Amino acid sequence: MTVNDFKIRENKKLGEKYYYFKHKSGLAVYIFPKELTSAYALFGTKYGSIDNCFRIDKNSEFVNVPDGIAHFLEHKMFENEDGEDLFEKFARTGASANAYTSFMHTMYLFSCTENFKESLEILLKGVTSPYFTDENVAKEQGIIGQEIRMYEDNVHNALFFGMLKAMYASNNVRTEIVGTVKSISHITPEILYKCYNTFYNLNNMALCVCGDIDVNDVISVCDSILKDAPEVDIESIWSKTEECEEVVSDRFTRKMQVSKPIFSIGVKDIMISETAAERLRKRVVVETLTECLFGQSSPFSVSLYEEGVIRNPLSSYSDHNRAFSFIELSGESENPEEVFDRFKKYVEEMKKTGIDDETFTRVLRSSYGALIGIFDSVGSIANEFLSFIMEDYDIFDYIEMFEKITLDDVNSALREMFDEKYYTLATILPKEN
Amino acid sequence: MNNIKRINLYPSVTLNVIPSEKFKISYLSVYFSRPADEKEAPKNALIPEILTRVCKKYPTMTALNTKLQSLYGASIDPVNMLMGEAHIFGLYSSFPENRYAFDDTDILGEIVDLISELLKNPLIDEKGTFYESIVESEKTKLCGRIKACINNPASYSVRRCEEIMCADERFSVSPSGTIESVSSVNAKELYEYYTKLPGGTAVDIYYAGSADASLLISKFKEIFRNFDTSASVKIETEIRRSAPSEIKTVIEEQPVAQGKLAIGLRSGYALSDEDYHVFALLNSILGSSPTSKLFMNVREKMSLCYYCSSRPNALKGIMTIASGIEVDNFEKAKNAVLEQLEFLKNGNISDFEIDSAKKSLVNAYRELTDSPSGLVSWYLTRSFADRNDSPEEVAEKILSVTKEELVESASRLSVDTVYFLKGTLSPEGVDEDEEDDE
Repeated sequence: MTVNDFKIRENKKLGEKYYYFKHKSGLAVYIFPKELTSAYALFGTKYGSIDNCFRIDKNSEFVNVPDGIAHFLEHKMFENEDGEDLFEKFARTGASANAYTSFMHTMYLFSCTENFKESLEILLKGVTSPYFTDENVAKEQGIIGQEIRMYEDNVHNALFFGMLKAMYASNNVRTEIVGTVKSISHITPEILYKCYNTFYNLNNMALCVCGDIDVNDVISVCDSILKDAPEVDIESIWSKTEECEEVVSDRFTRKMQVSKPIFSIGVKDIMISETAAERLRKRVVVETLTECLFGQSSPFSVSLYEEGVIRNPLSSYSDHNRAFSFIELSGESENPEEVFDRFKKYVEEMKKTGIDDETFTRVLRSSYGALIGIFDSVGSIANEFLSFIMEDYDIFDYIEMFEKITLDDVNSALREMFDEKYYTLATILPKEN
Repeated sequence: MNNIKRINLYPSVTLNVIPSEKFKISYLSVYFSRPADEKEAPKNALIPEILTRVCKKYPTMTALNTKLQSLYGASIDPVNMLMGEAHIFGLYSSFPENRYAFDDTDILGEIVDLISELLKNPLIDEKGTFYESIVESEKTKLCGRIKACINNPASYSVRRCEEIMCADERFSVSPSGTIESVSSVNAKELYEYYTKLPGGTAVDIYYAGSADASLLISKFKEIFRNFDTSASVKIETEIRRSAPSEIKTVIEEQPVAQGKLAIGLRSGYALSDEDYHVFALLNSILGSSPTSKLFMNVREKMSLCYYCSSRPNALKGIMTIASGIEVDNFEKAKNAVLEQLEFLKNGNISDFEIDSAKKSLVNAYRELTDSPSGLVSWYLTRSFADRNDSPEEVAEKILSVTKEELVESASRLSVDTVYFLKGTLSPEGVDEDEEDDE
C-alpha cells in the first residue's frame, strides 16, 4: 500500500481533512490527522440493539436473538482466551479504553498520549478475537443485571423508552438497548458467536483514527492483525410487521420517584428515504426545523419558561437514520397536558405562517458555530465521524448540507411531519406518598 | 510547561489566561467566590440565573437568545457550585474563535460587551431593584431543582453521604440553598446583595482562547471599576485529616429498584499538600481506573455491581466510594470495599497495579492539554490551594511515586460514614409497578 492508494477528502473552510483506504481484509479505514497531544481510535460495527432478527443467506430462515444481545456482546468482547481482559492489556500501554452500544452500532475505543501503535494492535486484536464460555457469560449476567437495574431507576431512560413504546408498534427502537434481566438470561455462548460471526465481519465494520498519527503504523497494524473477511450481505429486520404511520397511543404515563412530572412529546415519522443522500438532506432539514420551532429563542419555548410552566428551557432532539425517525421535546412541568395542548396549537399556527427567513438564517449560523466545536477533540471527531460513515455519508457531507438546504425545505417538512396522529405525550409522574 | 497566566486586575480580581491557538471554540467565564454559607447560598444561587436571563439592553429572553444565536451559537450559562468550602457562582461562556466567522463579526469583542451588560446593567424595575416577577420565577425554579435531586439516586446518595459526614462543616451547605432559605429571598434584598457583592468576594475571570490578553485586561478593569475590589480575598476550606474512631452508618429508604452504597472517607490529604499527587495515584489504584481494585474485584470477580468507583474531593480532603447493588448485597458489598481498603493499607499492591494506575493517570493528565475547558477547571480548582502546577508537571511527579509512599499514604485513609440508600421496589415489582402502557 502506498500513499497513492488513499483517497483524501478536505473541507478548506474548516481547515480539516481525512484519508480513506479500504484495507484488503475488507475493513474501511479513516485517518483524520490532528496535531494534538492525544490520539484516538474507534473501531465499530454496524450492529446495534435494533438488529435482533437477521440472516446472511437468502435461502435460510431469519434468526431471532434475545433483546440486549448487542450490548451484552460488547461487554463480552473485553474477555480474552489468555485470561487477561482488554482493560488489563490497555493498562500496559496507558491507553484509556471503553466501548458503547447504541440502537444502530457498537463501538470500541481508546485514547492515549503514547504507545498508539501498541494500543491499536490491542484494539484490533481484541475486537477480532471472540472468546465466550458458559462461565464468562454467567458472570456478565450479574454485572449487566445491575446495569439494567440502574437504568430501571433512571427516570429519563424510563421516559424516553415510554415515549418510544407509545409511538412504535413494531420497530425495534422501542426495545431497551440493554434488554431486560429476563431477556439476557437466554443468552448463551452459541448465540453470541452467531451474532459475532454475522455482524463482526470486517466488511460490516469501520475504523477511524484521529490525532498526530503515522499512517504507516496504521497500515502495518492492519496488515499484521486483520484476516481477510468473506463478502457478506446481511439482511436485518427492524420491524417484524410494517410499522404504522400513526402512533400506537397518544399517551404514556408511569409513576416513579420524581419530584415533579417530567414529560416528552414525541413526533413520529416513518417517511425514510431509500437513498443515503436523501436521508442526509432530510436529517439536516429536520434538525434545523426542530431548532427553529423549539430552540432557545423560539417564542413557544420562551413563553412556557417565562410563565413558569416548564422549569428548564425545553430540550429538543431529533434522530433521522436508516431505521427510524422522530422528534422529541422534553422538560419538567406541573402540567404536561397544558404543554401538549399549547404545542399542538403553536405548531398549527406555524404551519400557516411558516418559519421566516430571519429565523432560518440565524439558526443556521448558530448550528454552524456548534458544529465546528466537534473538531476540537480527537474523541468527538472520531465518534461523530464513524456514526456518519455508518449512515453512508461523511462528516463533511453533513456539515456542507447546512449550506444546501433551503427555507422551503424546512417549511415543507413542517407541513408534512406535524400532525396530531403522529404525536404522543409521555409522562413520568411522582408517586403519591 | 507553564500554560496559565494569572494577571491581577485589582486586589480581589484576577484575569486567568490559558493561551490556546489550536482550537476553534474559546471559553470565557466569570466566577465569584465566597465562603459557603447557609444564609448566602440561595442568593448566590439565584444571581447567576437572573443575570444570564435578561439585561437592560436585551430585556427579554428572546432578545438575549437571538443575540447569542447570531454570535454563531455562543452560549452564556449560569454557574453555581461548591469547590471545597468555596461557593462559586457566575457565568460560563463558549463561542467560536473570530477566524471562523464568515462575516467580519468580532465574536470575542461582542461576548465581552455582552458579559459586561449582564454584570453591570441587569434589568431593573422602577423601584431600582430586580424585577420581582423574575426573581419569583427563578425562586420557583430553584426550589424545583432542589426537590429534583431525588430524581437521580446515584448522585443523591453520594451527596447525602457527604452531608452526613460533614454535618457540622461548611461543606454540607447546599450551593442551591434549601426550600425555606430560597423562599425567604426578596427582590430588593437580592439586588442590594448583588450590587455590594465584590466586597469580600474573589472574582476570577478565565479565558481560554487565542486572543491577546490586553483587550480582556482593559475590558474587565472597566467592568469591575465601580465595584469594591480593594482587598484581596482568600477562602479557606477546613480539612479534617482523620475520621472519628466510630464509623457512622446511615440507611435510608426510597422507592427505587437498586440500592446505592456510598462510603465517605477522610483522605488525610488535601490539594494544598506538596505530596498530594501520591494520594491521587492511590485513589486511581483503589477505584478510578478500569484496573482498579474496586473494579477488578467488586465488579469483575464478584459480579456485585456495574459500577464501583472512588472519587476524591481534593480541596476538601475527602473521598467517596460509590456503587449500585442489589439491596440484599449491602453487607457483602460494603465488606468487599472495606477489604480492598485493608489490602491497600497492608501493602497488598502489585507492581502491575501501580504501573497501570500511573500510566492511566499520566495519560489522563496529558490529555487535559487538549481540553481548554478541562484546563479552566483544573486551574480554577488549584487556585484555591494556591497552586499553579500544570497537568504535565503533576504527571511527571506521579511517575516517580514509590510503593512505600503509597502504603504510607494509605495509612492516612479513614472511613467516616457508610450510607446506604435502600431501594424498596422488589425486582418483580418493577415490571408491573403501576405501569400504564396502553
